Amino acid sequence: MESVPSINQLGAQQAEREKQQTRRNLAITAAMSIFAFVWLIPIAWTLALSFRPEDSITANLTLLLPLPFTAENYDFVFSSSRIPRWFLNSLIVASLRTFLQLMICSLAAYSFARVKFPFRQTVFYFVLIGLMVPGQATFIPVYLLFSNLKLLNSFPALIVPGIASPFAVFLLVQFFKGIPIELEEAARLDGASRIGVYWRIFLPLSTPVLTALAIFTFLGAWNEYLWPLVAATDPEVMTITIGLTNLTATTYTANYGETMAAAWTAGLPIVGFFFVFQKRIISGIQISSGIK
Amino acid sequence: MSVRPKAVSKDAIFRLSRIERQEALVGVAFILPFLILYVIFNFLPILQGFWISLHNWDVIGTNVRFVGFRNYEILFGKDKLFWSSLEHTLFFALLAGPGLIVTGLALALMLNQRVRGIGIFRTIFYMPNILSVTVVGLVFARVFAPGERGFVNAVLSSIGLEPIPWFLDEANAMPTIAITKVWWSVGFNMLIFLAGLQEISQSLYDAAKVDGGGRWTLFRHITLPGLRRPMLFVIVLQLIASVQVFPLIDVLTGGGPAGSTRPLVMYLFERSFDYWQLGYGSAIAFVMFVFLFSISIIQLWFFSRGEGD
Amino acid sequence: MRRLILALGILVLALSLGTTALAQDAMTLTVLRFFGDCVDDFGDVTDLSGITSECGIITVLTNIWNEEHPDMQVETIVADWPGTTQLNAAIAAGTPPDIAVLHGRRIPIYASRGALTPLTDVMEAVGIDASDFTEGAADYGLYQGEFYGVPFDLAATIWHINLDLWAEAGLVDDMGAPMLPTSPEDFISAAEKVHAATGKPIAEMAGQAATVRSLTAYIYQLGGALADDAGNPTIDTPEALEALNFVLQLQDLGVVSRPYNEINGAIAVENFANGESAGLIDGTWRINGFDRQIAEGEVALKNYYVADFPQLFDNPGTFAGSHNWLVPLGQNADPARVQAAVSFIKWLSDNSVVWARVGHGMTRSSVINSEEFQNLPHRAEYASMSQNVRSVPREVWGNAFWAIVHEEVEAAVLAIKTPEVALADAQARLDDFILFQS
Repeated sequence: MESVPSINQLGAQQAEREKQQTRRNLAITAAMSIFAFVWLIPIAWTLALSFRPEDSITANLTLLLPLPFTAENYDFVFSSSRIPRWFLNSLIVASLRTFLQLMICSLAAYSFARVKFPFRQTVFYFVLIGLMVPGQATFIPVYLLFSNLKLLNSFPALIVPGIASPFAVFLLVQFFKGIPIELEEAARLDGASRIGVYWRIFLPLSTPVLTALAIFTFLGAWNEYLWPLVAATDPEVMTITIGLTNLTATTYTANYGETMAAAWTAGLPIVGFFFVFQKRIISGIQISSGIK
Repeated sequence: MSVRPKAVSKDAIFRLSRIERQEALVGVAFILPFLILYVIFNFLPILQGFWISLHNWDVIGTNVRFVGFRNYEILFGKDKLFWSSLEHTLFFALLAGPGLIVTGLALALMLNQRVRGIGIFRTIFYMPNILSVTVVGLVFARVFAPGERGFVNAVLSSIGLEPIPWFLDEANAMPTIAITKVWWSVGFNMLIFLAGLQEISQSLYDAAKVDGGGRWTLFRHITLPGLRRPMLFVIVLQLIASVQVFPLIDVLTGGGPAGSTRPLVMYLFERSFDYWQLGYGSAIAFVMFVFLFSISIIQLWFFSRGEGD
Repeated sequence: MRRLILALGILVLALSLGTTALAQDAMTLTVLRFFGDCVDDFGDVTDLSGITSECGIITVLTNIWNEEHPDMQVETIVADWPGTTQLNAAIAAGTPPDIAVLHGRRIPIYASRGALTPLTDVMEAVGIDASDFTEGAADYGLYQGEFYGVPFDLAATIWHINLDLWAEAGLVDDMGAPMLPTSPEDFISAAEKVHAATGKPIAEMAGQAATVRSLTAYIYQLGGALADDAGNPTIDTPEALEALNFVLQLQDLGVVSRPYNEINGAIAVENFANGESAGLIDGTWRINGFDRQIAEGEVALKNYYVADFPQLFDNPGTFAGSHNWLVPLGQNADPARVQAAVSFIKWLSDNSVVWARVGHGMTRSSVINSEEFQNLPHRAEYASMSQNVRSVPREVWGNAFWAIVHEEVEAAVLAIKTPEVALADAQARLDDFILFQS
């Protein structure tokens, strides 16, 4: 700080910096656009296919434009009177599972991360065991359990087995450990209970990771295949992923148009979901960095 | 010897103060709902799986006969397919794991900017993640289709290159699957890294800039250490997910050509459900579990050293 | 007040008695089947005319049955192809459906475990004449001489032919029929002629059509067997080696294209529809699809002919799968229920000629000889198919054989293994499978 720059000089520097910043931003945006374009080709293709008649798909599959244009694939998908029902089923299953998983797993994760109790590390490793065994190896025992309880073809069968997720606990423990201990100690000195600290400090501070987890769980439940296939064969509780697969499954042909239309029908709400929560992530992140 | 640790731990509980006991009670109460569900739907089925693995056990529950560790003897003794499936699985993990981490980090760094419309870009790179595996299979079977019917090959031949038999060649198939995997699921890693990046205080960067640190220095000494926890998380999960890969390969190659991309879980599934050998399939699952568990413990230990937990 | 309660009580009693009486009369049969879900298009349809898709036909047949049998309603559960995941889970839980559809080669392992209800006597009681099944077709429903499945169709591998391209190669006779090769040398020279005239392959193949289906057909044609006298699998045989070498020779000569995998199989189908190959060796189930595309005029294929799978060696032999209706209620099932289930199966079987519209071969002589069947498109062209079909041996390893041989033959076709090693490996894996049966 040898020479204090005049106000004029400061303004010029500021303008120069802003110009530089704008140029840099433009370059970044351009680079990202190119990447994003390549990234989007397969997705754009699925969208184009969903608007093309099947016979023209057979003749020329690798066309990125929906020509000749038709909405018949969507007509086919929406002609089903049962789709709203399946959609609702999926929504119920995915939302409830996501909500319950977030609640139960974050509570457990907080305890693993911050509360001292005997054998904590052992129990934590015990929970991690659940991550190491593929679902394909355990779905028969779980199926037999629900069958014995006479709970097949019910919402509990679709919702409950996915709630206690070792993955979620693992993820949340990692993030909870990163939250500064001082915050918690201050709150405790002010007389906050454990549950209060969990509810008023940890949950709000973890919005980004909770949102990421929510999306992950919701998607997992929405796209799940093997378990609902065997656990919910009744159209009353069938999920949309299974229902649409049955609708578009003819045994021998791919049925690109209808399959893609079905995929977009089922997938569009999730894109919307992401859009909404994407903003939440950003604002959530701002809260946490603001405190630091 | 066997009595002592027990005695010590009991003792430890007794020696807890009233406050500590209360604390412990709260801790246990918090994990209890999770633990009950976990035990019923995750842990007991795993135990049951181990019990089944000691039997000849038809998938429909017939012909059940206790055979002790015979399934494990066969598995380690002479099952070439088990070892080749393990090899394919590790190969996949080796290709997809670093790919997913490096790409995810690169995307996160790129998207961690204050630029107009950044939300759209984030959504775009995340978007493949919402597709179900069936759709990814249908699409990428065609993106990498052989001859000139595939997208990539159409591009290659338009610039005068020979088309490549992507999934049809045993040397290309696995790398092609790994590329597909990165495209499909890197979005989640990107989100995790992005959240991690936002947690790193800007003041650290400002301070380092004052000290004259270059971009690389900033990255090495602030960004990477700051991402330690998300990185641990991503690496551990990536390894587990890679070792459990199955549905994606099933829809892309079905384990072919000639079984050259068959991963362990596919082998487990074939044995259990196509050959009806649920006992043998469960043995494969259990060996996989022991393998994963040891590696994960080592990883966790490695990463948590010096964390002062 | 008391009278009101009394009246209500009587009403409730009457209602509950009424419903139980009704429940006793009406029986609901559950059917677990694949073929897809098309209730939205065909949910109320009871008129079969003009319907040619598998899903449409089976749905409408079920609708008609339900309309005619208010006391015996059939409820469909749509399964994922090939139908085993849900069926196995249901059997394991002790809650099997009354009727299921499976491929014939999967029957023996279920039957050997007592999971299927023996049907021979019930079939007779209900009026399904077992002697009406052609010899080749009956086999698909049998295990150790007992019927456990009622063979519904023959989904055979056949040769779809583009006559215009064959004509370019001078391989169409005055009657407008293709001059089909009858020996390996014939086949190669025909293939070379087609290739010289059009630059296109005489036959494209994908997935199992290129591997296990072709191989077993040629083994049968060479007089070989897939099982020894004790019923154990044999694939490492001189006939198998000769058959495999022939398959490889076609590859080396470049007259057939390098086979696609199962997942890219659609490409071979599209190539044929687009006139980019002179032939396609694939299933009967594609026939109505090609006919429809030709009728709509959207594809390059115009003159379409359906030939039997190439018959090149001394004995006739063609691969076919067969959809079978079975009763997975176990060996001590309630006879009344079984009888009801089989009467529905009889209804399906009696109307199987409708199912033939898809392109599938038929299993009953009376149906094959019927005018309605003979009038279906292309039928005369591949009439020999239903005589030539051979099932995989009726042993518990039937389905495992399929997957294992497919994989090992693919290894040979892609030159990952020599044919000798591939066959030896296949045999070793099959022997290993047998070990688990004891």
